[in-house]
Amino acid sequence: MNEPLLTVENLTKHFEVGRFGKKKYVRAVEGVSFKLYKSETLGVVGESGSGKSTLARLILGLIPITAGKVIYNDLDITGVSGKKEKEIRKDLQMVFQDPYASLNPRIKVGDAIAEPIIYNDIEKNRKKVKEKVNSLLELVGLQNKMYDRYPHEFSGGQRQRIGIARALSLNPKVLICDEAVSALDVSVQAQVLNLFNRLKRELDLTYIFIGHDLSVVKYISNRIMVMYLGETMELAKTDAIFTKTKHPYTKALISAIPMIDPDTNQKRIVLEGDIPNPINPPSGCRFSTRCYMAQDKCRKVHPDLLEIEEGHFVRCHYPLNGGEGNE
Amino acid sequence: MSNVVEFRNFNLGFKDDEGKAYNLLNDVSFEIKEGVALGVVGESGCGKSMLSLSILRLLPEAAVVQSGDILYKGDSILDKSISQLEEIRGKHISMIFQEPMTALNPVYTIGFQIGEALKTHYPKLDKKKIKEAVIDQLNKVGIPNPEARFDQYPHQFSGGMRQRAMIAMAMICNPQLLIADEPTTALDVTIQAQVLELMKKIKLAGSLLLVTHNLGVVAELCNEVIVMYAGCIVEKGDIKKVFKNPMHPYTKGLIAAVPGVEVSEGDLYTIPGTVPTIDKFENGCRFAPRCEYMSENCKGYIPTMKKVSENHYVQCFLYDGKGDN
Repeated sequence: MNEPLLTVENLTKHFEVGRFGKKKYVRAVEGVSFKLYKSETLGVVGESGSGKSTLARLILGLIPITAGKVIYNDLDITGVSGKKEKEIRKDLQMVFQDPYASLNPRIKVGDAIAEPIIYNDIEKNRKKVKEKVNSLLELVGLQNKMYDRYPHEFSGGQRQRIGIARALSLNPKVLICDEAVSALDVSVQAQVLNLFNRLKRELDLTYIFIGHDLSVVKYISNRIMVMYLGETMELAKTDAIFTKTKHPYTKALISAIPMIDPDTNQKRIVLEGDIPNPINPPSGCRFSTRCYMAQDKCRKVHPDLLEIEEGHFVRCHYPLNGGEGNE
Repeated sequence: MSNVVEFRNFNLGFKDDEGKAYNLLNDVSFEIKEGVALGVVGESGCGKSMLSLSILRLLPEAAVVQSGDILYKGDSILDKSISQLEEIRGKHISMIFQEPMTALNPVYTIGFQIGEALKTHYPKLDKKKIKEAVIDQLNKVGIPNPEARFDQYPHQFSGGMRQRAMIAMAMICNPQLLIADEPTTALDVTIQAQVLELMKKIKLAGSLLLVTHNLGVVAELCNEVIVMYAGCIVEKGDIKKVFKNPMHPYTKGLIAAVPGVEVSEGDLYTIPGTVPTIDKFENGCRFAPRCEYMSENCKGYIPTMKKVSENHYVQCFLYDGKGDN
């Protein structure tokens, strides 16, 4: 693979909670490291509380980092501010989850898309800005006569297209999509997924695609990172995640997908209990309390993320023998 | 096999602010047979929730029944008085709602809320008996330490536990029919798996009506399925027949648009356009504007339901009926 575009090193975020007495910390993201290569799509999967959205916000610098580094194009962008920050923000953009909440209901969608263009002085003259907005609308599959409409006139799928057009208005290199299709209906979700794939080809974009639905993330990603309670559990190429599953949690996630084929008699691994509280994560392996293969060592010793095959990282003392029982 | 609930040419409309009624559910006919798990699938706005609410007459005020009937064990539900209805609600037909966070009352204990249905329907039962029954039910739905949980409040329960409590509440009177409206949608994947396994296990004595947008959930739990689009049933029948050999262009598209588990290249199949809102429904087949097989036939009037094989029906001009409706 080519040079990494974005390198995340040991990224950690602890949120402070509780006003009185002893301070407690929600350990939302703990020591996450990965490299994002140019033109790839890295999928990030996890359940609620796994820290996937926090991770996106940390990379973009939307919330302060507790520890760790984000390196973009050989430049340490951790905690940059002012002019430099404005420069870097152009390259790293985000598409949000809720297409109903992320657009201002009183601003015409054309103006909403034009806003970042004007603010960043991409185009100075009014006519040029409008031309640019119209071309963006067409790029995401909307008509340019929609410039003067308000968000309530659009359906969920169209709003998500507007959100994408807005994120693309600054010609970003990296697009971080946080649950960008989760709120959409099946038939519309397929349209937007195809749009993401087309834009990637046409604009040579690099994606970090965050989601909770493994089958959707699988469809769009080259590599997948599985997170649990703030930590990376497994990171590998998409087909390796499915065919050479190493981590028991990943395996449980895959088996939890309900299949459409009524004939498949899948043996489902049902994880007992709930996701533990991130204020007080389990000692040893964070997954050990729900793991169906946990042994004494798992409850005492915290495993490291190891590269056990080329490009296949896993955080487990007893990784599964790849492919075992997957057929 | 006798029918628990039967919809007969049911038409349901919605009034706008000026009182003009728009038709949503169009000529809906189907039956829920005894002991059968029936799934209703469709995208948002297709009327699947309104369908389930109309069985217990829990419809919002703007809804108007335009024609047709709903029968419970042969008697019209629409003709029943409120007190007759209350006899049915919770005892004969009960419901699990989507959002376990909002469906439970935060100021009453879980035990009280589950026992309430018993207290209402069997006023002679004493407190001790009710508590025993509730704890037994909590045990059945897999809530650990039910004696202690009995006195706890909803905020002390996690999302998955609340949904289990909701199931316990719905099951406490052993209903003939359990209606579950998106019971796993608000839950995390691994918690959804737990609830699905639980629902498989408790495969009730009665029937199940499962409303969801997730085709996989229906495939796992149901024997029969109804596919809805814009208030019409476009296809219905045996789950294997409908999912393995979908006939209606919408069903075909819906199944093809779901990314599968196998790693695949290339674009996903998509249905062009979006689901219309209620004021923009076509006069003819409501799916026609998005359908690749649309012909002149499809405009003007809605096709009738045709039987294509035993327990497989489709509402589309593409198919000539091989038998009577």
